[in-house]
Amino acid sequence: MRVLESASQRYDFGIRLLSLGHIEGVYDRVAQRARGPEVLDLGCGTGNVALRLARRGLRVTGVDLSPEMLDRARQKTPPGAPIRWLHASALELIDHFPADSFDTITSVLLFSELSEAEQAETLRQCHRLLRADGQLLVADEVRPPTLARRALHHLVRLPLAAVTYLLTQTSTRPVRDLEAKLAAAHFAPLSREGNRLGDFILLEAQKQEVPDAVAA
Amino acid sequence: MRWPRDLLLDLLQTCLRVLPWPTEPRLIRVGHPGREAPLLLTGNYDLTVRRVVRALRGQDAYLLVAPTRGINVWCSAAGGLLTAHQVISILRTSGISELVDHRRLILPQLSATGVERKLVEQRTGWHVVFGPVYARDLPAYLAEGRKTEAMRQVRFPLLERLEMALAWAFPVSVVGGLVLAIGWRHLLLPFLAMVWAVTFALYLFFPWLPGPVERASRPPPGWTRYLVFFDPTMRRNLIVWLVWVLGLWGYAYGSGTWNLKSLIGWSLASLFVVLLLSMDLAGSTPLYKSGLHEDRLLHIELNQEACRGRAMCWEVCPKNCYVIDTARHKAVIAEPDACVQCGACVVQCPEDALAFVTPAGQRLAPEMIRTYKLNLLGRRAASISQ
Repeated sequence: MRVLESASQRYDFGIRLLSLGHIEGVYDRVAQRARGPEVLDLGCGTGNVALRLARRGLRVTGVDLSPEMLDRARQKTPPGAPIRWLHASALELIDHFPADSFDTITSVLLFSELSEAEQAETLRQCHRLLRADGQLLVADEVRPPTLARRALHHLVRLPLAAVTYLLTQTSTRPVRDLEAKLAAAHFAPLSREGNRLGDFILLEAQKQEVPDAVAA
Repeated sequence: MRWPRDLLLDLLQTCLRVLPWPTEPRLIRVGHPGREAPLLLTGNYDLTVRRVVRALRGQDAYLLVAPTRGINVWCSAAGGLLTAHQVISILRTSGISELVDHRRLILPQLSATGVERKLVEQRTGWHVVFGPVYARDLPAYLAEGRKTEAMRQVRFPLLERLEMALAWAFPVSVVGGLVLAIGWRHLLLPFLAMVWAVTFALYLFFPWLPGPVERASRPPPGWTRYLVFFDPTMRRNLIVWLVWVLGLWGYAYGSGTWNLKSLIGWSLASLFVVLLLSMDLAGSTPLYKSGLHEDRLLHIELNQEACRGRAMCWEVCPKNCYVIDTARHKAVIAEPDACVQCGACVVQCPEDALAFVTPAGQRLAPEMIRTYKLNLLGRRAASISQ
């Protein structure tokens, strides 16, 4: 499995290719919407969102599971930028941060890398780490809602995904029912932006207090 | 009836085993596990999961399927996709802590290259032990409660060699066959016969073909080092090719039907296939270090003073390189040449007494191997040393 070993160097290129360049705009919008002052960027990869957040003057913590990605993020960080990088998985947030640590948590293209059970546990930990009325910004690939769009999605994506995988060993798996999952984890929807094909969305949600009956 | 489906899946996934085959990470109940039932773990490579479940037939146990992106245990561990983080993830999401009263997790031995035992234990409170290399040894291991020397060692027996032959012959046939089907259909059958004959001959006769069984510890001299892509020290491949070509020319001479042009054409085509196989022969066998790149020809150095003989290296080495001097409480590297450079001993040593040393004499800190695993391609090694 030699191909795995240098994949991180090609990740940015792979994702740009897979999204036909749209990903840069997504990074911009996510970074624009974050409220701060204290932001956690979950699955920060090579730091595309975190660095934009820092440019806005927000205090950022970037978390990623890949040490190679974090190395590239560090290389891209200008001296003095208010960012710290942490090597951990999305399921180990509670090991590193106390409850109520952040005003906003952002996550681009992370949930599509997680299993169903991991998605639920990550949302539970995000809920714990956010302050009251804290903001969650999730941008990810999702399964299109209708059969016709799903067919179109596969038609467009299959050849693109094949080329991207061959060139960069980068791939993603669309998330199912992302909005329902946020609701189940006690996040109230604030806004929703989707592309025309319905296979990519940016969700903004707000932390809700867990009703007493559930908390008990 | 599950077995026809399982058999078909086994065959398909063996033919295409160079691809990832992810299955949903989860908790599997084997038999009727109680609150003291043993807890095992594997990666979410579908073929492995089914094999482990089959090996455990008749046992009562829990099996965790960790998220390793559909890649097998050894490759994902060495590639940084089966680490302490994936183990922590499945321990936390599976709800296993509520189902058993003990806290003993048995990992496959080959995961020791990637999974930092200490980190899992600190974060989760689970005690980690490394079980046998092969799933088929699990029943005996669970009954005895300990590993024999044979259970710790990686081998390359006939059945596995045939599997690897299939795993190479099939994709090469498909890709080459598709190209030929466009405009050279008359060449299709002889091409397939050539690919399967050469591939199976190489893997079938592997142990008897002349050539180093263990990898050389120095890069090849002079300009030949630039041939590392095709592993020129793997003489086996070229011998298989030579025998094939001699047979071909002999047959042509005997039957008197072939012309020189097609003979040369087929000789070159088979050379191409042999070189293709050489590209990842080291990666397809458990006997070699994974590459001949100069910066990867590392050897293990043991700091005798730091060693306290806790035998983790002996426990996880898949080539049984270590013996433990119980009188002095020290490990000894008894078989340094057998090392396949998997790094398991370096990752697991509780005293940091073991480290990789480059041919230039530079010591790579154990912490670096724990973080980056064996992703030590030139650029990484260079950037770390600066």
